[in-house]
Amino acid sequence: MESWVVGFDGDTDVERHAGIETGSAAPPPIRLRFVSDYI
Amino acid sequence: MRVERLREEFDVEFDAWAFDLRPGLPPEGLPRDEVYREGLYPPGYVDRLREMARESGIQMIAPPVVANTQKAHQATEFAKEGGRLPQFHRAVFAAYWEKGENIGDEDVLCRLAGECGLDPDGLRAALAGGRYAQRVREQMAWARDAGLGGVPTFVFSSGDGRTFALVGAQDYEVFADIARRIQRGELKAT
Repeated sequence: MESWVVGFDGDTDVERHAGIETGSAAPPPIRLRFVSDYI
Repeated sequence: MRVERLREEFDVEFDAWAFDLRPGLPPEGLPRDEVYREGLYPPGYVDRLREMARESGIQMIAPPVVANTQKAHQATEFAKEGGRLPQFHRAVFAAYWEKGENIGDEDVLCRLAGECGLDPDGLRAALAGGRYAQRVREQMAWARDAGLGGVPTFVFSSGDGRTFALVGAQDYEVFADIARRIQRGELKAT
């Protein structure tokens, strides 16, 4: 049987499925735009 | 260099955008002494770059010709599409600042492309057809419109659209501190 937790945890919206820990998701990559000339 | 070290330590998607530091150079470039008389760089800028390069194991020289970099920037776009941007970007810098090669020369750029695992003939055709010329012009226009007055400028963006610009040659720890703040969500939007 599936088990869900949907609600509000402090300042963070929570939607969890059994066996999945959403809080451990990796942060998105940092985008770095290098603006320069070669000379 | 600092960007490479940053990519090793953090999950960083690297991009390179063109800036025209010295508009109006002829296609073959100009002798360095001639350009220097006109004050290409702010006082002390190149000395600082050289010091940072030495710290990174790169021995910078003064290339004899200040190159017209329009094609180098177009070739950079070619490298992006070929999935070899970091390698090509560094190769162009090294060819210019370590070996003094004229990176405005198509033959030099195509050779570097080949050394980086890109198709030299494909690059030659792209340059001849001006395939990336408009994209490079748009990048340069963006820099002007954004008011970027100094290079290099490093524009950091987090996943939620916050950005932070770092101008000039900075110590690695400055880069790392910004990256950590972005990861922790501490960086305020600019």
